[in-house]
Amino acid sequence: MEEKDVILSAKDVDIEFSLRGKKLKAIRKCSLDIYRGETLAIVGESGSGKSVFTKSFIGMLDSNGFVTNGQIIYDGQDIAKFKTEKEWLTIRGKKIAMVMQDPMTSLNPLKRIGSQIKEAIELHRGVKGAEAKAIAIEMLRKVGIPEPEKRYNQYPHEFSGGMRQRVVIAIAVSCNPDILICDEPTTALDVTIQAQILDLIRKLKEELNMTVIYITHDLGVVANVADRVAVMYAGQIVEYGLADEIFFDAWHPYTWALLSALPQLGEKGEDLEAIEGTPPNLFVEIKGDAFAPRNKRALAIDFVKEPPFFDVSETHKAKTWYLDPRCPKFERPSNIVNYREIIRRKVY
Amino acid sequence: MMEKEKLLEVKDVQITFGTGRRKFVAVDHVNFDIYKGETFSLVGESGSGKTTIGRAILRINPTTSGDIIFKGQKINGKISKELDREVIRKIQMIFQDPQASLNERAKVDYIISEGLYNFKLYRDNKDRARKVQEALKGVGLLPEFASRFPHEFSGGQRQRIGIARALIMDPEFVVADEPISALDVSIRAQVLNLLNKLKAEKGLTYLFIAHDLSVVKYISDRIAVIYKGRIVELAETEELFANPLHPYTKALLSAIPIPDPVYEKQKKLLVYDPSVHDYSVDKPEWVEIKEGHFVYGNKAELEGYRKELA
Repeated sequence: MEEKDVILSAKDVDIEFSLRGKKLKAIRKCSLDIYRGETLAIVGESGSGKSVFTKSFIGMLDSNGFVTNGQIIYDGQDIAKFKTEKEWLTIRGKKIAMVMQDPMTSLNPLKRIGSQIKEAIELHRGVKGAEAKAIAIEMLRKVGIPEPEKRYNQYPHEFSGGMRQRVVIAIAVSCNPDILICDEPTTALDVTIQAQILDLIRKLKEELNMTVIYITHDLGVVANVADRVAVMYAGQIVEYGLADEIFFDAWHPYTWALLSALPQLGEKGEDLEAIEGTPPNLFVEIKGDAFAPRNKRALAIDFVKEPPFFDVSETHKAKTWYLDPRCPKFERPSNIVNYREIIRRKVY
Repeated sequence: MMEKEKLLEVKDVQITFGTGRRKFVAVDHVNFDIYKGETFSLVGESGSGKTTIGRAILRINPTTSGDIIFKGQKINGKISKELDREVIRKIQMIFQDPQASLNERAKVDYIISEGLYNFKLYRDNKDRARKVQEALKGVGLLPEFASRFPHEFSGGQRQRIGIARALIMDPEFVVADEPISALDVSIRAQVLNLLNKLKAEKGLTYLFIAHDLSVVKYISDRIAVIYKGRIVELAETEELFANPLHPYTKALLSAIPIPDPVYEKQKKLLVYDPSVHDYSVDKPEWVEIKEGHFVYGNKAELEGYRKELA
């Protein structure tokens, strides 16, 4: 196998928010290497920290949030140390760009979409006027907007949701970024449009040699796009590996719970396997495995000591005591072991 | 086979907004029946008119033409006050966004009892409080939650409050408009289980409005696919997934992301192109092409669909 080239590396990152004098630990010791040219999906429920974690890559944390520990290495520098907007502007938009969830709110409703794309191009590419306009129209064509010359002069409200998201993507990729972060890019869209947007991002990734990070809670989308998957829970990455490994050979109980709760696995007339309880309070120190209180099969040690990462394979690691050689014998849930067969039976 | 009892009939209903040149047809000659005790789903993209139909059944949106018949009585258009009150009570709605559908300034106790107050469905205050507590327990919440405000709850809990509010009225028919799309994946399963449990316990009938076909497949007995205000196909769930006929249904089914990375990466996406229909001479109609399987098409198309089924 060829040697993989790490494009961005986060090491032991902690992120805290101060809220009314209290400290909220949103991210606790997250480490992740992102490889050049891959599509990585970060999965987790709301509040798991998936957005906060990736926002720290482009300095877009809210003003009360700080990276308090750890490093984020990109292009030879530790961007976690960046303080000023000026430093961030050398990276944000230019090298690492982001597509947000809601195309209704990420465009300025008062400006023509042409000028919004042109603005980004003029700012980052150092071209002006007609030349920038030509690039902007080319970008619109590239993201699949028909009649780009005419559309260039229209306002966001004249576009449908899917078309608007295409415009947002055009703005994001207009400066040939290295990394494109897509934060729930299709959650607000219909399924048929969603599939088209996912295809578009895939096509652009190939064309522009980008690395793509998806943030999503939809495991169907993950299966569609991801080469690798990282699962987050309560501010930590709990399991990561190749997409096949996460879907067909999951080891962390939280990953099991996510997969088991899928309606696709449900038999009509029978209950789905819901995850009971709620995620932990991040204002207080978490002891042991954060998922243990919701895990019906938790081990005694889960409540006392936080598990380290264990290797499942060279590419697949999970943070659970189940993988410790000292762990008592146990069987993984049958619908996880037979996940592949169950899904196949349901779909075909 | 036992004859199924029709709880709700929607006959040739048309709903328009605006007049004259600004007239917009949101729902166009829609026909379907909902049987007692079933979960009937309306699936379509945003703007297809699925919510409008749900709201018309609840008498929120007036219909332009056609009949909506609930338990043998016409409930759209001008009806008597008594019938209006009965409809309001017997047909309840569960809303999409639990953040927006609960009154922020009222306590849970009031939110859930509001219907009881309006209809004087309690003997005294003690009786009302007991009913509220039972409703809370019924949806898996603690009785002491009654004294709290909505903002103290998580999304899943708030959706449960919304469900309790609908069910305390003892409805026969519940319109659930995207009840789980605003919820987190881990919470969705809880709420789906709850809806199924309540259906079994109380013999409810659901109209489930959704765009997520994977959920719809799990929960519904029959599915109607709606495109731009027209129902293009209607069948039992298994039949629809096994033999989709209308090109839009096929496109919709192909677009559902399946949580299987091997399958997803090789699948072909079908895109629906409405211009494949040539309805200029050969006019389309709504036909039962196979028992319980309806589709919208013209003679030539129906011929093709029949061949596909054979």
